[in-house]
Amino acid sequence: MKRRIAVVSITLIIAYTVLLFLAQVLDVYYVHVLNVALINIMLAVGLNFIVGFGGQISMAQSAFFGIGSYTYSILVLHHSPMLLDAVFAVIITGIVGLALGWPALKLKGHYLALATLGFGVIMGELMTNLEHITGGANGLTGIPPFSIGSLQLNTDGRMFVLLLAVAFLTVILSIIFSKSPIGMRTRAFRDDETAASMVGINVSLMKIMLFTVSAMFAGLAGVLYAGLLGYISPDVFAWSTTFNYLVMIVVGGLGSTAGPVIGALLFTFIPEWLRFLKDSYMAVFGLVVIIMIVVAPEGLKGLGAVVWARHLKRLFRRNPENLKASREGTAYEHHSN
Amino acid sequence: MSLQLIISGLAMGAIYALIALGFTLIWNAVGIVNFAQGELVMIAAYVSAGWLAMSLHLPWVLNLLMVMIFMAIFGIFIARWMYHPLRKSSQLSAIVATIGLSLFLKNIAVLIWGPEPLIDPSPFKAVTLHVGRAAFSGQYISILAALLILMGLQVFMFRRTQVGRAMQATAQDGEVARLMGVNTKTIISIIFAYAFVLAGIAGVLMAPLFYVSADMGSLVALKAFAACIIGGFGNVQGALVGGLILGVLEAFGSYFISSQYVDVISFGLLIAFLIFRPQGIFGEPIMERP
Repeated sequence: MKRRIAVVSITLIIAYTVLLFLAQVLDVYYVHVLNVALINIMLAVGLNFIVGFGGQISMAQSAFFGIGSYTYSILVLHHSPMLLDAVFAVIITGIVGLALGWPALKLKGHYLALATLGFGVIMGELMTNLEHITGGANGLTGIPPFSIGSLQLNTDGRMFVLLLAVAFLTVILSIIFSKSPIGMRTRAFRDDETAASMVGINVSLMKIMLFTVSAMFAGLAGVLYAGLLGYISPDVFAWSTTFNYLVMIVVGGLGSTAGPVIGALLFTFIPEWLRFLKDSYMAVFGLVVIIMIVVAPEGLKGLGAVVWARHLKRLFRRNPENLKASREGTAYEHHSN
Repeated sequence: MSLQLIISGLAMGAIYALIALGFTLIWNAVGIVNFAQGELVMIAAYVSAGWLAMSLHLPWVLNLLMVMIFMAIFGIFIARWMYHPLRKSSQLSAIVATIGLSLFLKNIAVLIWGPEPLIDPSPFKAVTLHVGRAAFSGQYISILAALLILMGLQVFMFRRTQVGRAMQATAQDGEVARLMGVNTKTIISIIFAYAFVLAGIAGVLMAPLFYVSADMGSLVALKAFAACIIGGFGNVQGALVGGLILGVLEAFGSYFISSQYVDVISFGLLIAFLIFRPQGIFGEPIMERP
């Protein structure tokens, strides 16, 4: 375990330095795409808490993203202190997540998916129609760049350093969570809710907590997004964009931290690589998503696992004696009824 | 005035109902929520308006027939090549595959027909019916007539024909149907074809009411989805009644309250239903699918 942590942290440090180096040599446009990728990583890793670890389909991620972004922007444009606004925006988003987590306790599967999606539609409408607060369809402009002391983070290169740090923190938190006792418990209730509550796991509390954590990460991503671009508009947070984050985590692979990260990077960069196809690049991208899912339904990180599972099956083929015992077992149960 | 509102609401509701019915059939048969249903409506509208009506100048009935054939083939193709490989994987994977499909269809439509919205020429647009002081557009009447005819055909098919009974059996319990000798693989393809045809008909009927554009289907499908919940998910009558209720409610809501917030009203109702009566109007208590 200790060795693994060492290996993971060294890999992370190396990756970090490589990326920082890349940011110096790449052109401005690519750094911007990298920045967007980092924000997508936060959103995907955040969503993975409720979907991957908790096994609940949430489609409210874009709404949370928007709530964080709008809360922060509105406050900043009223000239209140920046850091306070950011913290406040994240907390507000967390509270909304908490409030949405409560009805989610009663809903499962597609019911929950639709409830959260409906919430996303309503939020989108409000962002577009509450013109005196949100600026309507045009959104809000003139959001000042972040500043640390007297240093203004007004270029993509400078923002990259901040975003990379926050994204890394997000990833590390997610890894720590998945390895911690509480993470184990969430996995237990994902796999079997009834059994989990039998052994004393408070499933309701877990679900609400996961929703809140997901929402807070999305809120944080929203704050950073507003600071990165300097303007926000409702179409970025439209209900249809929530599917992007789901695609990211499912294509990457659910339930681990690497999956959503891989998914977010792919989702951001594949369209960029397909740009040579001119107008048809998004259609091809849709096709790529379908093919990826059909080829690897459990996500790209599961491809290796599939191969392994086949090998393992061959090793642990049931021997006839086991089969006989299990048959007798069923027969015995039959009599006792 | 209120009669006019009811008719236009029912017409929009009929569109929701047709799409909701397709949802419900696919859901019952294979347990997949198809998030590309709205894009099917859109593609059908484009095929109808963009190719058949504008380039080939086919008469309306022939146009509808061609769209139906096209959609049926498309449905069988998707059942074979997208649903079938995913039948054993998780619900979420299947959902994301349908999301990928909707992304693909939206962008392919822009590619083929361009970003400019099309206007669908329809023979019913010019017709206006006068009943007392109210005037109805022929388009609304044609939509309602189409819904009635379709429902009649569906009842006949499910009750009297071998294929219809096999479809119902598969929808109720695929596993048992298979053991009873129903060729479920084929029947599932037929169910997909039928659901796609329903979405296609909805698209052809809807096209004259709005501009035909790549985004025309997504929100309509979401409302059809809401109609399923309001009526009772997985329930055929529920899909119909839910769709009609939602349509009428929206017509009145946008006239008396605000046309800007009409979606807030519909989805607020949806969330209220989900919290207080998740089994919908025709509710049987929710049972989990194994």
